[in-house]
Formats: sequence, structure tokens, C-alpha cells
Amino acid sequence: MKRLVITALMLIVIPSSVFAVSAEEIIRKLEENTVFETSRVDGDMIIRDRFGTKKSSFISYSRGTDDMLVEFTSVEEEGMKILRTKDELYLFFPEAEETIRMQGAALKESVIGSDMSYEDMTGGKGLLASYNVTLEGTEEVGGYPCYRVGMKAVRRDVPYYSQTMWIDTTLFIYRRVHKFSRSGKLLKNITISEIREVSGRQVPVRMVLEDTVKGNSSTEFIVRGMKIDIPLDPGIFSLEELSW
Amino acid sequence: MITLAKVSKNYRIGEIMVQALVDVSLEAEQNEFLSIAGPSGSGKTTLLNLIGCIDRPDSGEIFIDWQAVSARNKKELALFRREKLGFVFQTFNLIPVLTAYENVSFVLSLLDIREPEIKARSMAMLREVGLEGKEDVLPGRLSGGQQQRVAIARALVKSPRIVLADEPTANLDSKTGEDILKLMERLNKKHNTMFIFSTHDPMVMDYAHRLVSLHDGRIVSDERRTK
Amino acid sequence: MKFLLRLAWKNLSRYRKRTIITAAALAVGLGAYIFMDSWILGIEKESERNLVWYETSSARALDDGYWEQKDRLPLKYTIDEPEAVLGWLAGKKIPAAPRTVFGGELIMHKDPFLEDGSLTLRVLAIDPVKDDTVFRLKETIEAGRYLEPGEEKILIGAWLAADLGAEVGYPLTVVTRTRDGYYQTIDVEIAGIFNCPNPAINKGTVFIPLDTADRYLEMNGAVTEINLRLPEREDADALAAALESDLAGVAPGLDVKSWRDLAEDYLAFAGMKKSASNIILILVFIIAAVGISNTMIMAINERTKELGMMRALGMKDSEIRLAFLLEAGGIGFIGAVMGVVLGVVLSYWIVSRGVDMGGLIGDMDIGYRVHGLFRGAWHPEAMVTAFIFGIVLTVLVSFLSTGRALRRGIADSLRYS
Repeated sequence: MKRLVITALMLIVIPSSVFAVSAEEIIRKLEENTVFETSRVDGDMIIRDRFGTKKSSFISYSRGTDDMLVEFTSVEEEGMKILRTKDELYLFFPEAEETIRMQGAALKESVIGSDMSYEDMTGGKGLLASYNVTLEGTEEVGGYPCYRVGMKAVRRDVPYYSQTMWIDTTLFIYRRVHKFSRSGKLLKNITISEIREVSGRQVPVRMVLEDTVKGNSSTEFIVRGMKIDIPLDPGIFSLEELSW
Repeated sequence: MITLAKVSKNYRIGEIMVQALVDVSLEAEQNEFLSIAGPSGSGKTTLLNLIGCIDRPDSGEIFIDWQAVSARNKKELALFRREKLGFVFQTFNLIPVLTAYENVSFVLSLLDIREPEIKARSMAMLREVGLEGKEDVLPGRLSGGQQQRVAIARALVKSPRIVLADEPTANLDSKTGEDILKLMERLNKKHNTMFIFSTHDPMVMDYAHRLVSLHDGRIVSDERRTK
Repeated sequence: MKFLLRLAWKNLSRYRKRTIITAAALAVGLGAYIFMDSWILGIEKESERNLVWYETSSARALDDGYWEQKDRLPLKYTIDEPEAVLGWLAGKKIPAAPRTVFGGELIMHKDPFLEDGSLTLRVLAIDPVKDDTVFRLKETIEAGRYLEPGEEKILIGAWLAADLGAEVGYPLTVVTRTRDGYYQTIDVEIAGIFNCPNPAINKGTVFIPLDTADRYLEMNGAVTEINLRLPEREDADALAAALESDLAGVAPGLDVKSWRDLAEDYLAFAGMKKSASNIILILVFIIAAVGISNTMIMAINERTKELGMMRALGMKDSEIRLAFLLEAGGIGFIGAVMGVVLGVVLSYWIVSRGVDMGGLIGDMDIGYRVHGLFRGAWHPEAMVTAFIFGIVLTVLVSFLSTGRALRRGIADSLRYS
């Protein structure tokens, strides 16, 4: 009982202490940091593989944790849209004038040849619901001190059995993520190389995703412009307006 | 007995209608040896074709043994020709792949006659036209006169009522032609068969017992001669 | 009738050259038909054999939900206790082999490979002990060796190996998903390279040991299919149906599909190819028919006067028609005999020797489950068909040509020159 009181006191006295922060709390803060009331992003996606380099541009709108609409603007993919709602992912191809609901194996396909799969775009359930997290210490990434958080899946509907995240100790934005196969082989390496302030919020604006098994391909996401908490027509996240 | 009553026949050659026969009336008795004379294009062949039931008149009627030809259908006419008529053609028209004997005997085999009789009658007929020993020769190896003798044998072997001969001597030299005419005349007498033959050759006309002359599809004279 | 037969025969022998040329044209058509038919049949038979030996087995037990989703290679619909089924089948003396099929991405890296690369394909996990009681893959190992239980090794096809520049001992990584859906990687080494006569297997399938797959995919002993070897290929459908109802008492919820069900795509394709080659044959026949009708029209035109004479002498149209039909039938008969002889000679060659198409088509997938040597098979029914067809065709063609000549008037025919 006495020990418990002392522990409680210590938590109250030194709340900002590094060691007092739990892994769960770090993840919660991380998620708070990446979710916005509404947002609009103008970005580029640069895919590098053995066939060369390809650049695509897109505009993405998001609302809360669930809703997201990505519309490609580069010539090759122009008009192609991806809509994410709470439970579903839809694809719209302007040439076929057809909306496809992505499910099953189709989710494992790559998004326009990038190292990101459609499955990587789903989610919204929250990391803590899917993973058991443990704080494994602190490490520097690119000169920034980070928490190293190990994650093991508790749910079976996530693609990666384990992940490791390096989360900036002051910004609570991850600077690096490793995603592993069931047997522990590193599959994907995500590195954030630039974080910028947008409307008083810290957001990653340059990110590289590498396929470490294939080893010869990477996809870079660059945010060219971003607006946060702007008014958005709620209709844009509906299936009905996807084909407009 | 043949009766033609106001028989007309027209042909269309391209856009032009040609009057081959105009209102031709004629009667011929059973034992006649009749020549139809006239220049070419006068309607001789058309007249023979009509009598031979291988063509039909546009108007008028033909009676053979008092029966109207127009009353018979195609098949009945074929059977009628098979039994009652014999034909001799200017160009002989033998079947080149058959021997002299076969060319003669096949007309009998079309009738309901048994093989031994066919053979006896065909051989006798060939002998009669003077082709004994040539039975197994193909037409291509016979002279024109010999070929026409085969044709006459073929026409007569079935003992027809009427033999129609279209310029039978036109493709033969005059000596052979005369031989053929003599043969025809002899057979006419012997078998009492009506012979109607067309010609434009005065020598041939001389042999006729009755000479009917055609000009532009009309009968211009009809004379009987006593021989 | 006797006269007509004699006339036909005499005409045939008189126009000997024409008879032979026409009959030869027909014979070439019929010979080509018999040859093509033999060849296609041979390829089909061999394809079916190679399907059963390397791809489908005689019949396959599957979870009853699997078939509908089969194209996704799901690990969701499995036979969870294969031992019960295998035990029962062993009691019935039916050779059986469990397998697990899954989709994966094969990843190779420069050195020892020529360059980095990856390709998506089907991975078959096989029981190294039981598999060769049903399939014949083991006999086709060309380099290295067959699999052993539990090892992290892989067998790849010779065509794939040639494409990748792979050799025995080279490392590969298979990226796939576990049964639960987690990404999984299996690092393997090439144990052997097989060269299987079935190009579908040779080209796009790799094999790993079943227990290795079980471990990596977290299958807990479940397999996706049990393959069976049944004595008679022909009765496979009936046997499969019987087995399905028998197995209901052993392990409920299983479908048993015969090789015919399993190869439905191939069979549909083969049917398509067959109708395509039938079109070619129809063309051949049209050419033969044109040749024959040409000859007959020539013969009839040439004999127009003769025909007129015969009609004048009282032969009925039906008799004249019969005379020509007999003549044409004679050409048909001669052509059919020659055609069948030609067909038999060509078939003998394609059956006993075959044609090596390896150089021509390389490792192109032409759909048939055959590559290299393409052999024919004897097909007496086709010869009988060709024979009858040849005669019927000529008679039919001459019937039509004679009709035209008979429409002409007799007087007209006699004037014809």
C-alpha cells in the first residue's frame, strides 16, 4: 500500500519525466498529432524502381480518423480517385466510369505501382486496438531523440505482425517505422525526412517508403501544400459523389 | 400418223424475237419418207424438235397417233421418246466412251428388255447397217459414215414409230451421204418406219418421197413424188 | 442401272487425268483432315495425361467453400484434419497426397542472380513422401534433388530457372501471407530444378515442403487440398461423386472435384481450339468442294450435247442425274481411298515420330499442356468420317452442278457447242 502511494506521488510530481511516459501514451499522442478535423493536402508521389522514376501528383482531403479522398491529378492517372470511409475502400476509374469496392486480395495490390498497397491506406481502427505496444528505450534518428516503441499484433486483420516505431520525443511524430513479416524479416522501412509547421501543427511533409525485401524500390511522398481545419463539403466523402 | 395444227414457235435471241415457225400445219402418214427442205434459218430444226417432243410450240398443237403432245408432262414425254421415237443428228452424237455395240444397245437397256434379246437385236441392227465386225470399236475410231450408221442403228434398234433425222448427211461426203440415204430408204421400206429428215442439199431432196419446203418459218411447198 | 454404272465407269477411265487430279485434290483435303485430327487428338490426349500427372491429379478433395474462391488461392477454406481423410483413403487403397496452395511473390537479388527482381506466382506445398504416389513431379527433376520434409528448400521449373538465371543452391525469398493474413517471408534455397512436360507447371509454379509451409503459414496441420489417384481417367466424374458422398461421413463439408472439373479452363480452351481448327478444316473442304464442282461443271458442260442427246433418246432426268452422281461418287471413292491412305501415312508419322515444336514456340504458353515433342494419336473414327464425307461431298456437289445443266432445254443442249 505504501509503495503504491509513493508510486502515485512520483507520477504526480514528475509527469514530464521521460521515463514516466508509457508506450500507450506515446502512441495516443502520435495519433492525436496525425488526425485533423479536416485537411487538404497537395502532394507528389515519386516512385523509384528498376524501371526508373515516375512522379504522380494528387490532392487528398481528410476528415477525422475515417474519411479520406485521394484524387490523382497527374496526366497518367488523372481523375482516378480513392475513397476511404470507416469500413470500406473504393476506387474510381474515370475511363471505365466504374466504381470498385476493394476487398480481399485486391487490397494487397499496389497503389499505382508504388510500394504502398491499398491495405496500407485502410485502417482507422487505431494502433492501440490492433497492437500491444512496449517502450523499448530511446534512440536518436537523424539527430532527433526518439522513443523506440515495439508493437506486436493482437488482432488478426492487420497485415504486419510486428512493427517498430521511432517517435520524436518532443513532436510526437514518428521519424522512422519498420514493418516486419511474421517471421521477423524487415519488409518496409518508412523514414520521415522533413517536418514542417502548418497552422500551428507539426506535420511530416517528406516521407520515403522502401520495400526492404525487394530492396530496389522506394516511394517518396512530398507534401507541397497543406491546409488544416478548413471547411469541406461533407458530400465529397460519399460514394454517390465519387463518380463526379 | 403425225398432225401439226397451226404450230408457231418464237425464239428470243438477245432482245430480238425470231419467228422460227409461223402457223405450220402438216400431216404425215406412218410409212412416209419425208424431207423438210429449206435454207438454214428456215425453221427445219425447230420443226423436227417439235415433232420429236424435245421442244414445245408457243401455239398450235401437235398430235402423234391422235394424241396431243401438250397433254403430256416432261417425264411422260421422255418415256414416249424412249419408246416411240428415234433420232439421228447431224453430228452423230454418239457417246464417245461407249463402243458401237454399246451405243446401240443402251437404248434398249432403257426399255424393259432382257439382256439376250438386247444383244440379238443390237447385233442384228448393226449387221443391217453394215457394221458387222465393228461392234467393239469406239466412235472415235470410226469414219463419219460409219458413225452415222451407228446412229441410225441406235435410232432404229428399238423399232420406233418415227425416226427424225436433222441434216443426217451434212457432215458426210456425197458418196457416203448417198449410202446413208439409201440405207434409210431401205429401212423405211422394210420396217415401215416413218422417216422425217431435214436437209438443204438437193441431192438429198431427190431421195425424198415427199418434200416439204420451208421458208422463213412457213411451208412454201409440199410435193409428193412417186418413186 | 447397270448401263449407268458402266457409263460412269467408262467416263471415269476415259477422263483419267481429270479423275485423278480431282480425286487427288479431295485426297489432300481428307488426308489433311485426318492428319490434323490425329495431331490435335494426340496433343489433347497428352495434355490430359499431363494435366492429371502434374496438375490436377484424377480428383481432388477441397473444402466446400474453396471452389468459388479458388482464383484467390485462399487459405481460409481448408481441410483442417487431413489425417482423417488420408487414413480413410489409405483404407480404401486410394493413393492420396495433401497439398497447400498459396499465392506468393518470389524475390531474388542480384548476385547470385543476374539482377534484382520479383514475380508473383503459385506456390505449392507438397508432402515429399506422399506426393509422388499421386503426381509425377519427382521423375522430372533435372538438376539438384527432390524435396525433403521440413527443409527450407524450393523446387522451380526449368523455364522459370532459365528466365531467372537460377541454379541449384541459389537463395530466394517468398513473400506471402499467413493463414491469418500477416505478411510472411520464407527464405529458401533452390533444392532442385524440374523440367515437367506440362508447361503450366513448368512456367509458373514452385514447390516447397508441406510441413515447412505449415510452419510459416501457421496452418496448424490444415491443408487446402487432398489429391487422389484413381485408376481410370474416364470414370473420374462418377468416382469423384461417389467419393464425395463417402467422405461426408469421414470429414463433413468436403467437395471432391474430378480432373475434368479442375481442368475446366483448359477443357474450355481446348474446345475453342478444336472449333478453330474445325474452321480450318471446313476451309480445306470448301477448297476441295470448289475443285470438285469445277471438275463436275467442266465435265457436264463438255457433255452438254451428249446430255441433250441422251435426253432426246428418252433418258429421264433422274437417270441422267444418277449417271453423273455415280461418276462423281467414283471420283469421291477414289479420292476418299487415297485420302485415307494419305491420312494413315501422315498419322503414322505424327504418331510415331511427332514434331518437335520446342524450337518454334520456345516456352510460349500455347495453352496445351504439352511442350517439346507434339505427337498425334490414332483416330479411326475420323478416318471413317473422312471417307464417308469425301464421297458424300462429291456426290452432293455433282448433284448441284447437274441440276444446273438439266434446267437447260433439250433443244438448247443439242445446239450447244
